[in-house]
Amino acid sequence: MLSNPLALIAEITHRCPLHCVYCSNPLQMAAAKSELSTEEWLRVFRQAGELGVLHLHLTGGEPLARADLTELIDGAHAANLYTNLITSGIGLSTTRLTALVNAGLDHIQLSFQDSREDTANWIAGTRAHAHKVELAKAIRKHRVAFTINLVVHRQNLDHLPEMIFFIEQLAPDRMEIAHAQYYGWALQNRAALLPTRAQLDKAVEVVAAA
Amino acid sequence: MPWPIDSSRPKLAAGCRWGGSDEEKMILFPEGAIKVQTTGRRILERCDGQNTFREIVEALQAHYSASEPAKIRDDVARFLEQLHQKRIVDY
Repeated sequence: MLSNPLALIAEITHRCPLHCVYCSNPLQMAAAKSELSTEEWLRVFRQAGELGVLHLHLTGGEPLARADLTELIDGAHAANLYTNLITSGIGLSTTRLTALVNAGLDHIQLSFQDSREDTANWIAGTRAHAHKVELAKAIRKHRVAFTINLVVHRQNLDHLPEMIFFIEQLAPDRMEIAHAQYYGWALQNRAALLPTRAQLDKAVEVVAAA
Repeated sequence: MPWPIDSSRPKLAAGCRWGGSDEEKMILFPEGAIKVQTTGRRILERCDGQNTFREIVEALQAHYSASEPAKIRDDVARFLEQLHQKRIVDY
């Protein structure tokens, strides 16, 4: 017999204020009106809890694009799920952050595109970088697990040490360095994103030393 | 990592909490979970930020009165130090 699943990855929306060139979402995204409703998600979370699922990863799109996110987290918490928000941070004010934490949010995983503001904004197709820096400071004031996720590829791998240093200054509990995954837009843009063998070897060395 | 000292007040680290069911208690943390049974559970249930390390050790020594008290103290310290390294326990 198969054992029960331990984690649920819920893509609660495809809407996103960023337009990253390595986005893994499908080129043809689901429209807002075809998203599952609040009640449907709450039912899914309850059922997941009953199945013995331990972790819920809320992702998208940008989960913050959903106006009912606080309610969803509240429901997930009530279903005994350890809830992780995978986010760009766009749409998260300090007031909303407090509401999410109070609803039972356990872990925030905030993505960064680069240490340099101009290239970060260029990759994301929007001016998101400065807001993320401010948000990282606000998150640190809450009693919540905080991971910063750095997405790497051919365009930024050459200054990986600088990016690691930048993220260390933001004092997360964990840093995750992840290469873009070749689905959706990343697959379309693969030629510009795929690192050279030399870049990859160097990056492995840098990460091992960090 | 340093071991806890007598006056340390161990507690679950930010973002770590209890989960699972009564029969199968777990500690949940980012991207992971550990099952805690018998002795581990007995130790961690006392890690509430109120009890000192010394009080936790004394409770365990009272419970396992047939064992060598110094060994119990070392075992509890080592257990907490390992969880501290994984950022599951703070002290």
